[in-house]
Order: sequence, then structure tokens, then C-alpha cells
Amino acid sequence: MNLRLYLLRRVLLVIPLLIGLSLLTFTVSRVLPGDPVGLAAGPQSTPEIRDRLARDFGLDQPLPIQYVNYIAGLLRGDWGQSLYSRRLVADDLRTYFPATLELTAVAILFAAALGIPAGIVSAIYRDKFPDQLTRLIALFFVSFPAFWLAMIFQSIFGVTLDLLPIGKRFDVLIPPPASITGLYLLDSLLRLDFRSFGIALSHLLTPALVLSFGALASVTRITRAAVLEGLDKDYVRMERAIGIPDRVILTKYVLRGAFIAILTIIALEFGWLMAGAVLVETIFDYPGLGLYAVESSLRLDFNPIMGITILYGIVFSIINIATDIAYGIIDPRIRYG
Amino acid sequence: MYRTLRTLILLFLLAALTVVPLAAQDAPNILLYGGNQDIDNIDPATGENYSINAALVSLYDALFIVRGENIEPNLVATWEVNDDATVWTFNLKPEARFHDGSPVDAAAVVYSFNRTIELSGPPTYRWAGITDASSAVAVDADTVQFTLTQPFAPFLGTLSQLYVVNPAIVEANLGDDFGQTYLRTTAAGSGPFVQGRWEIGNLYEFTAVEDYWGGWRGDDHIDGFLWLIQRDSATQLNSLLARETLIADTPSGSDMGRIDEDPGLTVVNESSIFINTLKMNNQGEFTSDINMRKAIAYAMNYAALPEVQDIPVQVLPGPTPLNFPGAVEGLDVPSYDLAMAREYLAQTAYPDGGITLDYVYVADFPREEVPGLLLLEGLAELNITLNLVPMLWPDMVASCADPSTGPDIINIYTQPAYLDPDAHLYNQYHSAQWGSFNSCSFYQNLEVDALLDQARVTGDVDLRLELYAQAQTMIAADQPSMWMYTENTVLGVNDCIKGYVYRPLESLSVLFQDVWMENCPA
Repeated sequence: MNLRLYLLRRVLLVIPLLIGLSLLTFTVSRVLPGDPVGLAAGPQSTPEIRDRLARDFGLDQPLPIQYVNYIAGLLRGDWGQSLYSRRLVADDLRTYFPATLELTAVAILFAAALGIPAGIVSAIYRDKFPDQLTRLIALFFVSFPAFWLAMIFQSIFGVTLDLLPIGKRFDVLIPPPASITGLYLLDSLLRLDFRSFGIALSHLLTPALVLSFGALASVTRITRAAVLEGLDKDYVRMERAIGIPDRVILTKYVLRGAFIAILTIIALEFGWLMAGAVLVETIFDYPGLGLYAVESSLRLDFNPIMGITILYGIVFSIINIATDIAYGIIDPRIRYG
Repeated sequence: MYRTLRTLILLFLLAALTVVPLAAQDAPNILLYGGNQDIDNIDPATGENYSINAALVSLYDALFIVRGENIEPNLVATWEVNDDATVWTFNLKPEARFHDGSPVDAAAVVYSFNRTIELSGPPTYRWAGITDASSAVAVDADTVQFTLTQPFAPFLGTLSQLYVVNPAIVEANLGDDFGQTYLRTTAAGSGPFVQGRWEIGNLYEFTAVEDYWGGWRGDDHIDGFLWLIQRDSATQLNSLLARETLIADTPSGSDMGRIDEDPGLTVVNESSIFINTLKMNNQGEFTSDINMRKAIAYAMNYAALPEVQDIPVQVLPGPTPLNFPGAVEGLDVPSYDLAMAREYLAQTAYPDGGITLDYVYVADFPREEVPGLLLLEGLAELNITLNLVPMLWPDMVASCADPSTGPDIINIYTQPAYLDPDAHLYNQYHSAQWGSFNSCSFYQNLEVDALLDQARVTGDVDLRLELYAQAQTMIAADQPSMWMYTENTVLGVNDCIKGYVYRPLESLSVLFQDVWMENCPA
């Protein structure tokens, strides 16, 4: 099967995935106890107000009708309205998703930039001091809760050293770069606005670093294991025997083979970091999807909950497909089919 | 190649970081406020909480304004009321102007009031039962008259929440919900500030109107303020310490020391009227018996509350805090006394205890859980089991709809909506209020009802206070609830902020039009 057909098949497989995901989320959110209409209407609201609100949002319909109406709306591009804020869910997702995407992307870059070299060092010096030290550092950062690390780093870099901002996504007194993609770093570069780039980067550094720790240990350990496996191969012994330098063996041959495993863990961690960014977003007041998701869940705000779930499903699917394609690029022996 | 790439990346990062100091805040007179709560609805007819009120009082004008502990005329120049407090006539200031230059006249006041009543949003309960669709009338361009359906002496106090909208703007953006969708995020007011950037869940920008019709207290008023959403108290503290914000509205009690130690910061620590009460279901299986209620009340360790709560609190002396109008000192209310508790328990149908009571509180809110733990400890001495039941707030509100669903004991915070004993006592202790969370004790004493009703229709201030004193004495004797504490308001304020005056009714926020900044950090 060639790449195009493979892609088509993978994309078509996403559809039943999203249907199942939406059905599960719909059912769970409706079954949970609570009175989202009452909360949205306010504690002083009258029954008439609450009934009207329920009617306006179609919540007085039977559940299957509600689900069908929601899916029909989604197919028309209508992601619904928030019961609580009355804002369009599509507008909210358009606002919050790029923020979380940017934060997660930079966090993964940090995790890869720190974890891959650490894993390589660990593998080269297996069971020696550098290996033990690398394991200890990775264990340290993965053991502490993200919110605690966030508060510590915020206090050190923001207050004590006064080096980086305390939070938010951009300097609050300056308008952010005009949106092209919604990603401040990219948008400022596209507009050659290096001042905005610097500001956006300074606001990203601490939260992205804290978020990266969750993936750092995994990337380090997987890199170590994959490199060790590669170093044990017969072709490596042969290359050493014929005098090829270790550095060349490592970078030109072993790493390339190890990269499949490294790419897999990075792809997995990307998804997990996106979903788990809420604590970091809360501490740093970073206006991303994680916070939006938690607040919508606490309020049982059905349309945002559905929208966020479906968006995450799409994002995860894209990441998986992209990873599979990348496998084929890294290892030409891989065939699609 | 790797070395070159690495060098380029490092140079890039260094270049980016050197830009950072240039991005320092260079707008000199913008007050940065760290707020815990969102401003997700600025429609005066449907929005009400502390953060929304801070926005409303900045973007709109109401007939009256709360300044410090007083209520002062704002849009109103003079007013009259008839003897039985049914007809209220207000003469408006003719110079008042909306932001588009049109006059804030009597027609606009009537329009705003009628819109509020029709939409029946949260602010409306103040006028429920005392007004109808024909109550507000524009006598002439600058005179508005309210004819109440029944006498209501505290009426004036409610008018600080009647914000006047620009009818022309609302009519142009009616939609199919009487302009709610529009006004939820866009102001149509006359206040001292206008909206700037409005990022829901992130930040809200308010810009001063230089030629504000009401004038400014001085030329050095702020040019604007930014309400920054900061959900975590640690972030609020760090922002304040790093001078990224100048006011933090909800630092935790444990952070007060750090704020105090900083030479440029001050802790505002004032007694509020945010009241915590444990309401017992007066119609419940066990707690309908006054002796049981007394026994439970004597088993509560009130003195421990200031020690165990994470913010400063002051134990209540009875139904009303002492800093609120109409408070009565020296009421006979229980203290922690297990001997007295056993005496009362002995007069119930369960002299040896052996029962289980549910204590309902907001889930994941330790400040409401802690009193339950104290009570659990005390009731255990009486062989009464207390079952702590965390619930979501909407479910708690729903459970208060009927005595049959009301919990045995429920932790409720209340805040009077206006500075009058009626605001505090009527919605909690009048039996007509059953069904709301304020009245989750399902208390009924017909004599108390009569006193509260009489006080509502009496214009004589001294007589009213006497009536409220009698009512509170009866309420204390009936013990429908356990009166726990008022929370102190704690703000962290940079010393460069001047003109701040504490307002008990809006304790968590600032009247931004009255403050100014002197030598604030850039």
C-alpha cells in the first residue's frame, strides 16, 4: 500500500474513534450528578429562568435527540455555546488551543533537548557515575508534583532572581502580536517582531521547563535503552573493529536506529503533556486549554466538554499519524500497509 | 554541524533574553490588580459577584454608590420618600452623560430597572415582591419615581445595584434575549472607565474616561487598571512580591507574614460581613427538636475556629456581626460546653445519642470542611456520629429547595446585599424565604416573621432597630443555626497605592475611581 492510501485509511479510522469518544463523553457528562443549568442561571434564579435556559440549550430534549443535534451541529461547523459564558465554543477553542499547543511544543523541545543527550551519556557510561547521576536527576524531577515545582521555579526565577515573569502568556501592558496562527512565537517571527518574540519566549520559559520535567525522565530512559540496544549490535562491533570513531558510530548509525523508540516516546509524551498542562497553566495563569477544560468540567458545561474532548481526539490522531509517517522517513525499510 | 547549530541556538536564546528587560512595563499609571475571580458577565441585569461588581461600578453608574461604610448619591442629586416608604422620588443630576454623550436621564433609569425586573437575574431578588412592571416612572427628564407595591424602608440601600444602561445601545443590539448576549461582554454605561482589552479568563482592561461627567477626585487619578486573573494564591503572592501587580485580592492567611515583611507592601486585614453559618434543618428528623439543636450548638468549639482556619476570622456573637447595622450585643448564644450539650441532649428523644447526622459542605473547600471536623469531634463526645458529605455547590443549592431534601446541617456563606438589617435577616430567617440556600434552616417563627415584616414597612429608623433587636433575640433563643464567624478581608497592597478605603459591602475589591498611585514600581 502506498503512502496516500495509508493516510486515507488512517484518516478514515479516526471517524469511528471520534464517534466513540463523543458518545462516551456525552454519556458520562450527562450521567454525572449536578445541576449545570442551575449553576449557569445563578443561585437566585427562578424556576422559570432555569427552564428557559434549559430550553434555549436544548437540554429539555431526550438524551439521544441532544446527541444527534450536537453531532449535526458539529458537522455544520457549530461546536455549540457555553452554557455558563454563552460564548461560542469554537471561539474559545480558537483562543485557548494555540496557547496550550505552544506551551506543550516548547516543553517537548526542552524534554528532547535535555533528555536525549542525557540518555546518550547514560548509555555510554552505563553503570558508571554519569549514568547514576542522570538517573537520579530524572527521578528527582519526575517525583515532585508539577504544581510544587511550578511554585518553586516561579519563586526563584520570578521573585528572588527577578529574571523571568511570574506568569501569563505575554506582557499584560503590551498587546500581543497580531494573530496569524495564534502561536505567539511563530506569529512574532513571521512579522519579524523580535521584541514580541523575546517577550513571548520569556513568558514561556519557566512553565515550559516545569512541564517538560514530566517527560524528561521517560525520554532519558528510553533513549538510554534504545542506544544501549544499538551499541550491542554486531554491526557496531564490526565498525569499531575497522576503526570508525565511536562518535561517528553513535551519531551516524546507532542514534538513527534508536530514533524510532525515541520518536515514539516523544509522540506519546506530547499527548500526555497537552492533557496534563492544567496544573502548570493554573500556577502560571497561562490561558490555555487545560484550565478551560477543568473549569468546564467543574461546571458540567456540556458543549465545551464535548468540544475539548473531540479536539484532543483529533490532535492525538494527528500526532499518531504523523509519528507513523515519520517512522517511514527515518527507517526506509518500513512499508505502509 | 551540531556545534554550529548549537551555537546558533544559544545566540538566539541570548538575544531573546536581552530583549526581555526592554519589555518592562513602561505605562506609568496603570494599576495592575491580581484578581482571583473572573469577570465573565458585565450585564448589570444578570451579573453579580464581587469581581463583576468591581467591573460594573467602574463601567456604569448606579443611582447610589457605596463608598467606605456609607451609601452616597451618585446619579441622584436629591430625593424624597413618603411617610409609608411606598413612593420614592429621585431627582437626577442633569450633567450625567453616557460614554456616547447622550444624557443619563429618567427614561434610561426606568428602562434599566424594567429590563432588570423582566430578565429576573441575580440582582432582582432585592426588588422581588415590592415592585412590578409599572413601579418605575419617568416624571420628567430628570425625575424618576418608584411606587412600590408595598412599603419597603430599605429601598434606598438596594439602589447601589441599579446600574443604568444606555437604552439606545441596548435597543440596537437586542437580539432575541433583550441584549443579554451583547451586554454580557460589552458595556453601555456612563461610568468613570471604559473597556479596553477583554480576554475572558485572562485579563480585563479598564481605561479612565478623562472627561468623566462625575469628575475625578484629583488630577492624579489612575489612567486605568488591569484586572488580571490569578487563580492561585501563591501566584498572587509572587506577583505582588515581584511588583508585577500592586494589589492581590485573595492571598492566603499563611502568606500574610511574607507580605507584611516586605517594606513596600501592606496587609489590609479588616473584619468583613462575609458570614459563615451552619444551618440546621429545623424541619428535619432530628434537628426539628430545639433541644437537639441546642445540644449540637454547645458541642461546637467556636474558640478554635480562628486557630484552625487558614485566614483570619472572628467568631460571631449571634446572627449578626457586630460591624453590621442593627447588630445586638450580649445575646445568649452557645459556647463550647459539653456539659450543657449533654443537658440538652437528655431532653431529646435520643438522650444517649446514637444517631447520625449529615454535614454538607462544598467539596474541595477546606475552609468549609474544617468546621465539620471540629463539630465531629464535639458530637463524638455525645455519641452522635457526624457524616461529612462534600457536595458541589449547585447540588447544595438544589438540596435547599425543600425541607425533605435539606441536609441535617449545611455550611453556608452569606453576604448581605445592602447595608440594612433587612438584607441580612429577612432572607435567612423569614419563613417566606424557604427554598433558597440562604434559608436552608427552614426556620419558622411567626412572631419573627411579623417583626421582620413590620420592620420592612416602617420608616422610623429607631423603631426598625428595635424590631430587629427583638427578632434577633428570638432567633438566638430558637437556635435555628450555629453562628460561626465572619471572614476577615485580606488584601495585599503596594504602599504606592493611595486613597484606598475599605468597603465592607464590597470587601474584596477596590473603588478604582478613588485611588491614585505615587511612585509605583515600573
